[in-house]
Amino acid sequence: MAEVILENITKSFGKTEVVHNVSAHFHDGEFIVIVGPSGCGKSTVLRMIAGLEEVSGGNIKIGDKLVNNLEPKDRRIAMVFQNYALYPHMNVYNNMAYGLRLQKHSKVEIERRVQEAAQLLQLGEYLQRRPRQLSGGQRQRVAMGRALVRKPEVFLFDEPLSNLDAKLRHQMRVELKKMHKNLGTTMIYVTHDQVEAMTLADKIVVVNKGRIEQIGSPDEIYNAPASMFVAGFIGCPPMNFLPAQHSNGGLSLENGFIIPAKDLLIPSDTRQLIVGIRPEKIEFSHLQRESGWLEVDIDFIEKLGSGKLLYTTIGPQQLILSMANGDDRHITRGWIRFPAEALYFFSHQDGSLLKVKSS
Amino acid sequence: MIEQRPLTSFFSHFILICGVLLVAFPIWITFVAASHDTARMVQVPLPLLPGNHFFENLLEAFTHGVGNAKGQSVGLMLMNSLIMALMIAFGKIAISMLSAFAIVYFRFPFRMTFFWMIFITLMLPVEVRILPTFEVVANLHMLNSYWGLSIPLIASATATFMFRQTFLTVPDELLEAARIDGAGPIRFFIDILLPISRTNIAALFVIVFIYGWNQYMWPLLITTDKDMYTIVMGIKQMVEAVEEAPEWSLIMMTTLLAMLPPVVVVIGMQRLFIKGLTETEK
Repeated sequence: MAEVILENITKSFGKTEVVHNVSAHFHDGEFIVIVGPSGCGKSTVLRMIAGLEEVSGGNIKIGDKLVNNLEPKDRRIAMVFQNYALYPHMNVYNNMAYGLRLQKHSKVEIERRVQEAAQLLQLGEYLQRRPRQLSGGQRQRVAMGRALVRKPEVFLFDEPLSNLDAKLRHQMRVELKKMHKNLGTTMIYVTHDQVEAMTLADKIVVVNKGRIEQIGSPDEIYNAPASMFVAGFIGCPPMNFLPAQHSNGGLSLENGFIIPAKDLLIPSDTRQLIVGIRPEKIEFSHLQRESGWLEVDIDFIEKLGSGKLLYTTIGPQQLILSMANGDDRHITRGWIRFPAEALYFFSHQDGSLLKVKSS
Repeated sequence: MIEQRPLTSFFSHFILICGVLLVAFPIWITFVAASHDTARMVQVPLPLLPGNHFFENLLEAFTHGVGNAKGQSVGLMLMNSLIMALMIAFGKIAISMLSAFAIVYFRFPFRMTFFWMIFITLMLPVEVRILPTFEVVANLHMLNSYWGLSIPLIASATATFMFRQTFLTVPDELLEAARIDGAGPIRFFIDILLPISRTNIAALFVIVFIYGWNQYMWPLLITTDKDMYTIVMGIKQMVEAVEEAPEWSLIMMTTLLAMLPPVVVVIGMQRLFIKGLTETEK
């Protein structure tokens, strides 16, 4: 049990700085997901916490101990790797027991811990097998077992589910969540998959280009994204963005359509801005409507089973609408409306969120 | 390419059989010669079928020895060869594995310089550097000793390079997992790298053992003491036997014996050998 504190962490490889001034406070027992596109430095942050990578600047504290210069083994952490990194020449039992042997635990204790982990992960019958005789999901479990038996204060996961197929990934996700609930240990989980981030996390850290864009609960991140990047990264399909001109009480889109914005407190000096709206918040109608509704051509439809996605364009911008099933008529055109309360406004310059809601 | 036409099939078998005969015939002759008495071997035509003196010759070779190496039993020469070949094989594997370990897993100044320096020695086999090497060995008083026989042949660029390639294919995460588990460099080497490279070690052992066993020039140069003769040079000494005609039956018997250990090594380690050269999954 321990909290993890990052204070102004930076990391440079040679002259290129890949992680800039990252600070965060992860509380004891939290499930933290660090999410971002590939190459954004999220794995590097995790590896620095693990001690596999030296920090170029700043401090890392685990519990109340400064761990900057500690070896990985002394940091009371355990890590699960994307490609499992099981020792290929050892059977499952030895894979889990190896670390404990190096820590000089008694045979009885090792046996007890390994059996306990094996039972928890349903690996009991595979203990004598070699990793190559196991399926991907089983290997992943062994990797988790190896982390479990160490009884660490912080679990670190580096994209642990990326090598599994979709179904297994879902299953393992649920198991991980259960495991966290049972153990109550701090877990830090790195992924590029926003679904994993939304479903697993108590707290999401969105990273972009080596900087933290936003830290918050999944709801906060989804409902109150701090920037265009976060809004576009979290959510599937992603949020729609439409450039707009602000002029006397309305927002005119590139095709000339004006969204009424009388109630919005947009600073009068802001001319250019970007309007964001989630695909499921756009209202759609087959029937002709009057003012406030925009007539659009539907280019094509993606059926998802549980719903469908409608693709259309406004000017040069693609717009995605998410709809429930129901009317299965072949839709080629319709009328859409942007409810004012579902709109987000972002700065044209740096993509940061503009606080303009009237309420 | 798999084809099932009878003509191609016949043709390829024909070529293979010719190849087998080509390789097997001299060995057969060696065996036949080893089973006749010395007198029969100097008459023409030479026999093509085995005689009945095989075990006498075997005993003779083991107890008395032949020609120039008279009084030097084949047994002792075999033992010398075996010790030399094993020392070379184990020494080579140990040295090259450790240097590859250093080059792949440690960051130190001039790392690549060292690697290339090792690599360049590929161009300097014993035959090329024979005089300076002899000088060094002589100054270290290692003439006529097992150390002198094996040490100059131990350093090996090929083996270092092979282990380097093997280690490069080991995923980095394995090292990282081991570090988190608390293994230091030596632990990692012994517990993880060594077992993982098992098949490569076996493959290398086969190659290097035979290389060591077949050494001729170097032992010839540094051994003057008959007790240190190795079998391969021993055979040569026998052929150059003084005034009398060479005792072909005994020489052939010795040759046969000299061929045996490499054959045993190859057959015994064949499976690991092939695995070591072809296996890619770590």
